[in-house]
Amino acid sequence: MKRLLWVLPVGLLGVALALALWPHEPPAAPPSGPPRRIVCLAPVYTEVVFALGAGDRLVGRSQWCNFPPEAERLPVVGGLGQPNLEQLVALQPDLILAPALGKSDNYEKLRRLGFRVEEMEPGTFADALAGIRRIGGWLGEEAAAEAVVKKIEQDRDALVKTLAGCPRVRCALVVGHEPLFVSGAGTYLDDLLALANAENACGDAQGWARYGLEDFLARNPEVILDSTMGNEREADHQVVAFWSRWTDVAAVKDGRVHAIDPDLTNRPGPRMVQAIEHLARHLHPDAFARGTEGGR
Amino acid sequence: MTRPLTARRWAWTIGALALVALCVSILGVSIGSEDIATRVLQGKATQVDWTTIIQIRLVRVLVGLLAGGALATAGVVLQALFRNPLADPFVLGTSGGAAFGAVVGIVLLEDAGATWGWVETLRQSQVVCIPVMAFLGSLLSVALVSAGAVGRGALPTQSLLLIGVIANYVFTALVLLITVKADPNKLPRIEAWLLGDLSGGGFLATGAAALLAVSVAICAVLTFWLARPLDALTLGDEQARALGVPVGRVRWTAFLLSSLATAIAVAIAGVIGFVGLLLPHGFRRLFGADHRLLVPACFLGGGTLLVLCDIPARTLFPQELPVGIVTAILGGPLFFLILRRRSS
Repeated sequence: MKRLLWVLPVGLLGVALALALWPHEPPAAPPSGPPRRIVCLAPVYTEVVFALGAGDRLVGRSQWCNFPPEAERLPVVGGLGQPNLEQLVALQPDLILAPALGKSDNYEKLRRLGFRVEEMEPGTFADALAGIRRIGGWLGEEAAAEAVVKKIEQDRDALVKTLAGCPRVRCALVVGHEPLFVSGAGTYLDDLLALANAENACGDAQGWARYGLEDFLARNPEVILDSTMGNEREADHQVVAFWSRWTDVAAVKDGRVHAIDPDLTNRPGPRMVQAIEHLARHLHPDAFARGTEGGR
Repeated sequence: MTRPLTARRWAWTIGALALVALCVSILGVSIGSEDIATRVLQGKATQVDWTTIIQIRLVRVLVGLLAGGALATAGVVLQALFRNPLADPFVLGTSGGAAFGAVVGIVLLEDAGATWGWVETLRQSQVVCIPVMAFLGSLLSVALVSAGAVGRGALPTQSLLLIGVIANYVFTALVLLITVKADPNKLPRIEAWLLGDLSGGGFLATGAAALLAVSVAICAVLTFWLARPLDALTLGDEQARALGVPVGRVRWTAFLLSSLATAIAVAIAGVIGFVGLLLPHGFRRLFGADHRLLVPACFLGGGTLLVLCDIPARTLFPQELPVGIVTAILGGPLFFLILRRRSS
């Protein structure tokens, strides 16, 4: 009897081995033609798909996709890159546009279940243009993508020309308060700042970086653009209140501390030039004082 | 408690617990954000519904059974080995090592995937990179802790506990160091892993079932070969030796098997507290201290408890909660009650 007991664990391990080597069903061949049912797991991709005129093909969005307003009518399938798998599977999308920062094990699983998941890295201004072209290619909207890119480049060139004569101010991009986090060199925000004809006061930091308060005071930025408070109406007051205790900083002394809208400045998509303008209005108010066109 | 264990009582208890586990598993598979259960009962389930049931919900239930069972089993074995009621599956550095492995995987390996072919191969087979790294990390920790204690006789419990606690601190510090230096874009993933969840990562149903079978096999070995010697060990080393138990060998085997079970559980589900501590204490009061019954009972009970806790975790709010939060919130007060009843 006792000897027979070996059968149990050995048998179980055999079962385990068999199950592990079990060939799982090959994913069904994707239907030919451009995708008709798209889910975006980051707000920027929702913006791109709408800009390409394919908004009617979207069937789901992330919790944070709030632009254009039509997008808010779509069902929510989870947070940034962390989809609710059940809802996502129920939607049966034929293309999932996902940020590379999400939980990629879930993406792996979706792929094995036969879904097409395209992961995209956030990047610089130029990367974003390439990204729009790539999405255009996937959607079969190459011409629309080309037009969107061309428009962005034209608008950017026009804006850069407007700002060309302005003095190059030293600006800090604050993305977190406690501890202090700034957008350093190599970030998308840093790229926008350069296009807005300004110098990153914390450009010695790489990427999104924790920044010593002591160093921050030493850099003495002339403008502080702070995106920590979100896009609420009172954001400006809160940001100004937070920085008011550091009266030695030039930006605080001159009243040049402003809240910026992270929904606009953190999305390398079709509204990039608006984002540059959003920054530039704070950086070079004189350039816009002569009644340039309004809007964010 | 003093009632002798008969084959009849064993079979009835294990049978009843298995039945409860089955019922809770069915409940777990039928509840979710989409109302699929009614469609299945009406015979109107689509292919999509079956995918959801098998590849999403069943995977969760299997991972819950596996993780809860393995952690509770490891807990009961370690408490007997160390003759210490505070021993739990994580006290020996297993969780710290696993966290270290997983974070190394997330931060360093995923980018290397393109250049190192084997990482890509792992991703494409049934196994996924992060659980493998977490598993290797916890094995590394167990190896280090064991090496520190080896050659000091039959599993020196005091030094093992101390080395385990120290290993956990060191690994936690290393995790923090990597986190500070890591790309902030990866922080949400690290956080999600450290809190633990039952979604099974990239595993499909067959992979999760295979791992469940492995942990059942470990539990079976512990039940049928090591339960009697463990009973003897709780009397003390001298008594056990007098009864003819090879103390050193039993200790090392039980320790390594329970570490292996913990490592598998942590690798897939992350660090889930309380199951390994609470359930063995409760069941020891309920079923007596005989390990032939206690070990399989804890396996079934731990799995059931975790699957049960996972139901509110994923249905209470639109956003999924880490199941560890639910087990701790429910487990804390329950543990307190058990202690109160014991002391009165």
